[in-house]
This record gives sequence, structure tokens and C-alpha cells, in this order.
Amino acid sequence: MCSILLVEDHKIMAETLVRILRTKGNFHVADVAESAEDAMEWLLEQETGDHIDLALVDVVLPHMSGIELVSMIQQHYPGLPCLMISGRSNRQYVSRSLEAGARGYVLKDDLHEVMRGVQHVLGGGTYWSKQLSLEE
Amino acid sequence: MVKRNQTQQQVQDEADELKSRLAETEETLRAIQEYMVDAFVVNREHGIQVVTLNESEIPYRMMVESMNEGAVTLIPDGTIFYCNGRLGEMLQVDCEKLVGTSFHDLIAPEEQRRFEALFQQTVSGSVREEFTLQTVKGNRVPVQLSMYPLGEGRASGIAVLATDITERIQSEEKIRSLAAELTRVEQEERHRISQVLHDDLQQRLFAIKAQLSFLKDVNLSAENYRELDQVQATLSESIAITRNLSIDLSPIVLQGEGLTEVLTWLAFRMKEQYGLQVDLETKKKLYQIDSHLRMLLFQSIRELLFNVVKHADISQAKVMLDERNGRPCIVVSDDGKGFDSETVMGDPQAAHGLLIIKDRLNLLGCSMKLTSKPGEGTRIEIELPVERKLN
Repeated sequence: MCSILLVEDHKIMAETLVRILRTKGNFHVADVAESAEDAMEWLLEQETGDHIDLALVDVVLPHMSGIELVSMIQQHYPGLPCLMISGRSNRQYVSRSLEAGARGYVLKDDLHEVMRGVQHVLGGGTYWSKQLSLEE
Repeated sequence: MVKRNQTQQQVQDEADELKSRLAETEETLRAIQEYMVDAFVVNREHGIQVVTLNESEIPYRMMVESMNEGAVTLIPDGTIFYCNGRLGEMLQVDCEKLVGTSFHDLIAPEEQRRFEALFQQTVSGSVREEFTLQTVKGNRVPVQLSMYPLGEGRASGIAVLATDITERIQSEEKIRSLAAELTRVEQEERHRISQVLHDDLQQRLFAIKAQLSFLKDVNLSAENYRELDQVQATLSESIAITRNLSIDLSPIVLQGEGLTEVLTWLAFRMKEQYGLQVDLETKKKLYQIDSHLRMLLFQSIRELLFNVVKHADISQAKVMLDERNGRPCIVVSDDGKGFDSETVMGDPQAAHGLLIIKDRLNLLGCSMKLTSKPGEGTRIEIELPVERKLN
């Protein structure tokens, strides 16, 4: 069973994503971090423990952004693929996510796409939402 | 006895007449002493003659010397013939040292060409414009110059009145600063609301939509399934509305990019949301615009483009970055159905939105001019302020 680290600060959204990942994808959600700092702390603690297959990271987080977190993860854990999840298809967010080393970008309002994105990235590929546009 | 009495009466009459003439003379002398008389008309051997009093100009000179405006007379080539003490005070120089020098040299170098053009016009009539005077020490004084030709027909000289407008400029700058602060606070509030919409309300809507999808796993009747689809579709619309509202309230593009980039994004949004094709033309690249002004220009141009969508009955508009009268200028135009601009702009109710835009732009030093006629489209020119250098 693949193991996922979810980084999402909104409690209701986090609970919903956990439920979907578990029931519809049969994934193991190893931890839910509410901030980038919590996520890094948790990853440091796991160095000799659990193996994580994917970090699913919200773009907008309090303090440090999700994009900055992905950049740090790529420095310290280059083998850990990261998939961005967001409510906005902002072109700056998308291009900066790509620069930071994210393997994909999905939108929260299409859960089928979220699942497709997770599966693609876990399978070693990349996934950029088809709904991404120059909206902002 | 009678004869003696008559003589006494005559003496008395003569004395009275002399007293009366003395009083009249004393009154005339008092008037002369108090500068109430400039000249006399005297009947002499060769006919009537006007005699002026040597000191008759004193009250005028006193007036000119004590007034709050700088006063200068120039000979036609612009050399200072006379200047009052107030001009010396303004320029922090002994006014006698200014006599014989060229008035042009007192004008700030970057304004001398404009002054020269105005000076040439003075020959045919009075002119008034704002300039900056500059002393040898480099002090700068913003003034309004009123210039009048002296003499009839061919001017024998030019009179210049210089009104110090430093306080007015400072007040205007204070108003600008307060208006900028207002724009900043307003944008902060927009940003806060945008964040609430994005960070909370939208997340809740995403979660509800996702949770509803679980219901599809349960055995639902065809009718319930359709109803669920309907609810999800409504939720998707609500998500789209909150997302657009969140973006429009605080576009990320406003954070740090130039006006051209902001307008490019706005053109894209107008097309995407309202089907309005906005052609952006940059004839003249604008200088680095202060973030508050950029924000206000963005909001104003967006409102003007909304007006095209709502009223112009056309799906195309143009935004042009240009220059007018040496000032950066933005022109928003369309070839739509237009309106009687004089009637509409004269009606505060009909022009409410436009007048608010105009007032807000004025507060940040911009000017807005609207021209429109029924059937001939609408054109709005927004002139941006030129940065004024003070000490």
C-alpha cells in the first residue's frame, strides 16, 4: 500500500482528502501536517522509520508556502515525489511549483483529477491539471 | 455812522471768505499729504495744464512692496527692470541684485522651454501658468506666474506677478498621500476578504462537493442520482463564483508587476469572463508607477471596461498607453453606441460611478477627460501626474 504525506491547513478539507485517498484510492495517509514546518519536522522524525511514497502539498499554507516546502523536500529528500494541490490555477503558482521540483499540479474541485494525479505521480510520471489556465 | 457800519460788515465778509478759502486750502494740502491726489489741472498762460505730483507713485509703490506676491517688471527681452522685496524673499536673494539679470534664468532648467513659449505669447495678452523658480543656491519655489504686457499696442515691457504656491503643493501632496493610504487600506481589506473566500469558504465548498461524491457509492435511485448531480453542479457554480470573486478582489498580478503586465492580465480576464476583446497598445512605455497609483489605475480601467460591457453594446474595446502634454496618459476607448457625455456627466445620479472614478483619480494627481456622443463611441483619457521636484 502506498503511503502519502498530506500537507493541508484547512481541517475539513484535510479530513475529506484523507477519506477520499483511503476509500477511493486505498492509500495509506501516514500523516496530515497543517503547515510546511510541521511537515518538515515530521519528515525529519521519519528518517529511520516509515517510507513515504508521495507528498501531496497544498500550495497556500500559513507562514512558509507549499512551493517553498516542495523546494526544501527536493533538497533533503530528492527521491520523494511531490504533487501540488490547490484551489487556484494561478500561472505563477504553477510555474513556481514546476521550478521547485513538483511532479504535478491538481485542482481541489475535481476529485477524480486529484486521484488521477496521485496515481500518475506514484507511477513515476507527472500530472498537470488540464484545467490549468492563465486565470490569474 | 452808516458808512462805518458798512465797512465793518465788508471786513467781516472778507474775513469769512478768507477763512473758508483757508479751510479749503488746508483740506487740499491734507489730501496731498495723504497721497489722495495724483495731479492738478492748472489754468496757465498757455492753456490748461496737468501737473503731476512727484511723489504720487508712493502709495502704489508701497502697495507693490508690501504685497504677498513677487512683482517684477521686465523689458521686452526679459531683463528685470524692477522687482519687489517679496520676490527677493522668495528667492532668498537681495532683490536689487536681480535687477539687470534675465528673468528666464530664475526658471528651473527643465521648465525654461515652456516658459519661453509662454513669454512669447505675453506680447499679445496676459497669460498665467505654474512654474518653479530656482535660485543660485539651488532652492526651488513653485509659483504661479501671471504675466501682462505693459503699454498699449506694442508692449514696452512685461509685468510679472509670482504667487508662491508651496503651501498649496504641500497640501495637494498631503491629500495625495492620504488618498494613497486610503487605496492601500482598501486594497488590504479586499485582500483580507479574498483570503477568507479562498482559504476558508472555498475549502469548505470543495470538501462538501467531495463528500457528496461518496453518496454516489451508495445505491441511489435514478432520481436521487440526478438530484445529487444537480447539487454538485450548483456547488461547482458556487465554487467558480467564489474563486472569481476572490481573484477579482485581489489579483496576484497586482503584487509587484508593472502596469503593462497588469493590463495584459485584465484584458485576458475581460475576454474570459465577459467576452470583451480588449486590444492593448503601448505607444509609450510608462515610468515606474507607485503601487497605490497602479492599483487605482487597474481598478479604474476595470470599471471603465465593465461600462463597455454593460452599456456600449459592443464586444471590443481598446486600452492605449501614450503621452499627452508631456504627461503619461492611458486612453480607454470603444466604438460602441456612445452617449451624450455633457448630459450624463452633468447628472450626478447617472454619472455616479464615473464621477467616483474621476474623484479618486484626481486625489492621486491624475486627471480624467471623457468624450462621447450617441453613435460615436466613447473615449476616456487619464493623464498621470508628472513628478514635481521640491526641496
